[in-house]
Amino acid sequence: MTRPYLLALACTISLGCEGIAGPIGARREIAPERGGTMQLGTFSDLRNLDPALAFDTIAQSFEQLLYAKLVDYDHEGNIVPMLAERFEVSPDGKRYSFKLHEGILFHDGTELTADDVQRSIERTLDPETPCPAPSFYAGIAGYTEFHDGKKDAAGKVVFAPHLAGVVVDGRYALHIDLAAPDATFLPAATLPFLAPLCKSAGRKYAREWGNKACGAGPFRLLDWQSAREVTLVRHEGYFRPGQPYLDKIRWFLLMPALSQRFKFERGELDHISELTIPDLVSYRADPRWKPFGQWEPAKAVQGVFLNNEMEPFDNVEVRRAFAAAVDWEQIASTRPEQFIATSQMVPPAVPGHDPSFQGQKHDVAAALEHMKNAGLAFDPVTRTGGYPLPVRYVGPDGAATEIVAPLLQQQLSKIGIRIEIKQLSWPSFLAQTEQRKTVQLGYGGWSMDFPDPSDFFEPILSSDNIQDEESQNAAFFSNLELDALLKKAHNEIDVGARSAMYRRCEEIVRDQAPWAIGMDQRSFELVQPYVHGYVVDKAHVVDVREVWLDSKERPRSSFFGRRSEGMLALIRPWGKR
Amino acid sequence: MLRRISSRLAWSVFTIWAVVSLTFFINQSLPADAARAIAGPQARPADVARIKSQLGLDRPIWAQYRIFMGRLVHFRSSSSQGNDHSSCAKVGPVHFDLGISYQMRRPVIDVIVERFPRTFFLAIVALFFEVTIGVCAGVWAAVRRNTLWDYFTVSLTLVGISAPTFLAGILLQYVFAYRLRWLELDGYGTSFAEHATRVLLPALTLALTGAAYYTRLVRDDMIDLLKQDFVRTAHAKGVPPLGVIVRHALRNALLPLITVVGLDFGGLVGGAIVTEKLFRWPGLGQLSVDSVFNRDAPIILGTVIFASTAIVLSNVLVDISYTLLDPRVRAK
Repeated sequence: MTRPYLLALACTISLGCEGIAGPIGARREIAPERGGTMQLGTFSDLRNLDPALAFDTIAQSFEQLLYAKLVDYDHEGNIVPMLAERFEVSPDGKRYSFKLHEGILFHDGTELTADDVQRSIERTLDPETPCPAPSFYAGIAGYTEFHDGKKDAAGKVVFAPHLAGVVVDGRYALHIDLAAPDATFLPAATLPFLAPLCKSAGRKYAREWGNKACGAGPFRLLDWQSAREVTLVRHEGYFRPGQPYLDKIRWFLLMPALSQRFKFERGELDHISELTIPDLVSYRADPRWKPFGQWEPAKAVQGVFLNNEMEPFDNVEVRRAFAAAVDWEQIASTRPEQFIATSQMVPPAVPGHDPSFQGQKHDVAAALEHMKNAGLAFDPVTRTGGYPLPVRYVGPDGAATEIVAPLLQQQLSKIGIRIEIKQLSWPSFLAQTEQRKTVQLGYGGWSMDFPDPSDFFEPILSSDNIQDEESQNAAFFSNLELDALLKKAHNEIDVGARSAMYRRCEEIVRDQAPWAIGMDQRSFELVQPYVHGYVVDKAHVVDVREVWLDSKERPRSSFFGRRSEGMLALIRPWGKR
Repeated sequence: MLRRISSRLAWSVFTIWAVVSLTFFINQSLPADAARAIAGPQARPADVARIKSQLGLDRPIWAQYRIFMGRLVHFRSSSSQGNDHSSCAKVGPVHFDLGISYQMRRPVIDVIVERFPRTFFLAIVALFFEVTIGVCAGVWAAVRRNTLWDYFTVSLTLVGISAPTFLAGILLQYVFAYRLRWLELDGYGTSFAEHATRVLLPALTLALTGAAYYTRLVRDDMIDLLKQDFVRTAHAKGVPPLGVIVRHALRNALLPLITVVGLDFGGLVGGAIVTEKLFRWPGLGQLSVDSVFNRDAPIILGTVIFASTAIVLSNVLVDISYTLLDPRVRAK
């Protein structure tokens, strides 16, 4: 860590260690009530609100407020109808029929019909739209002809005028046909890409429309001041009676974590999740805050990828030795509760996670045995043998490298593998690790795009994603059985049979060790006592759609009438609210 | 003098072109993929490849450079842009086009035009603090040289020069906003009155280093000047002490200060990265650092062009003002 960062850390810690203020107001059990403005902050910037484009975490927080989708996840992680009154899946798994609620209004007051759903899907998947993930929907019948085009007899690429698989069956009904059964279709349909948009969005993507953001979600966009704040107000025509409860939401952008804490304690923010480590520890340790904090279920897996095409990890015994030598419990203990050691690819928030699964285990003796089998026997007493050359671990800036890599270095030295650490900026890290035969091992991390086990295997471990450049399979792991299983599981609609397939995938990863797995990471969220109905669930990020505020307990203004105590404030101890 | 100015302006254009070209090639040669940054770290390879093709990032680097330079300054009739001139700034028939931001999907010119006044405002206020504090403290220390006041001022300047911006900023936020509640913690506000109150903390943070430096500069110059014969003569003629200090000594001490202030101003207008980030001041500094992390090449190039133009122009202005203020330079 460089000196300025150390100083910043010291400063943050010294301010944070002084103590934290207690909650504002008290928690009363009250029925949902309408009114109030909720204030939130984030250190990210919002770049776009067009659901065809925006797919970063912060944009998704806004999109779930602005746009309603055909289907969504409930708090338990089940896919339930949203705009659709009901939906049916045909027995062969190739047709999804949706019946829409009647009388749903967009933010501009016009009625939402099946035509709007069709138009919006075609707009997102239009070849001219710079959508970052159209391939999620490549299974829709006619996708190739519509999105990629087909060559005619003269060799000219011709695009179909419509997406053949999306068919309107009436004013409030439509069905979507898939070319083959696809178990990932419904989870992918919960993403904002397929959300119906107001008629002003048109059939084609237009650059300026992202600033208007007109949908059928519970809130509509009132004002977006670039790099400053976004204000949303209640959509009075929202289709769920009585909801939403909040009058207004103000979301401050680009706010540093320490400023968020200061504002949260002053009552100028009602929710906080981007905490510095010292602040996180302080809040967790303070009994006053215990009822108001929640851990977000882990939605990402972390580990170390081992490049199967480069020495020494082209030898499965070395990979197994590596996986057995890493003590993830020790690494996770550096951030108690935030890091949770795991031995499987699928994190707890995702269906398919099996708590009983026995994955890779920390066992130094077994690791030494694997090294011996690889012809690289290491004597821990004399410290002779092992792999003769140093191997380079590449990681991105941040805790993943600064905390994990030095511990890996220590742990691997016990079996005769010497690690050199190379830290890169995130874009450079991606560019290097995705290049063939460039990086021997490095930080492996994957966050869910949507809650489905396929998302934790197909992009990062299937042979289809191996390329010379931009290879998402950074381990360059190719296993015929895994590939076949993933294809089969992708199309399997029987939940039990599918779970069994992904369990077998976990076994292959455990035994072949393309990754040393790892740990799950989760974040901690706090709300003030007067905030009700805030639920941290498996599928959503900072979801305030169902929140209401206790107007009696909530301070009336940001300064809540409490004037500064003058210079006395500088010497007054903390926590006296 | 006209010849001198036109020669300086010609060099300025060359300097800006060189900086922009260098930035373009450095940006292109970085081992990072803009299409990947746009699509996100988890985007599928086919989607990344499509975005690359849509943005022309799959073309050879020279072709991309030619397109960029051809688009940067062109005439209305130019076909380099096709029929789409929506991302251009127009000055008569001449169009300036910095392209569309990869991440924000907005014309870069629009983004810079939106951010620049905020940074300019912050720069002006910071410079006002720097100069006011620097000149007052510098004169005071020089007049009271070798006294406790002088030692105290010099020690404070050492702290000001050494204190990192982020540390000073957090400290000011903590004391004035969080504890005393005299000022807002951060943000820009919506009215001029709000801008004016919210600019105080970031401007003061920015000004600390500059003020300390100016204090030392003015103090050292003033100490030398106060020993000069013309100052002694002024005293002998019965000019009041304040008049001697201000009209005779300080006036001469300001000349070197102008050079430094001019250069500092150019730098400040280019964007104060740490301060803007810390205080959520939505200016060019914050924009440029975000664009680097996001690999948003059009914004990177736009901010570089803007910052380098500001620095080069302030240099030219300093040169011109020197020519006007100092007869010795004028005579050359």
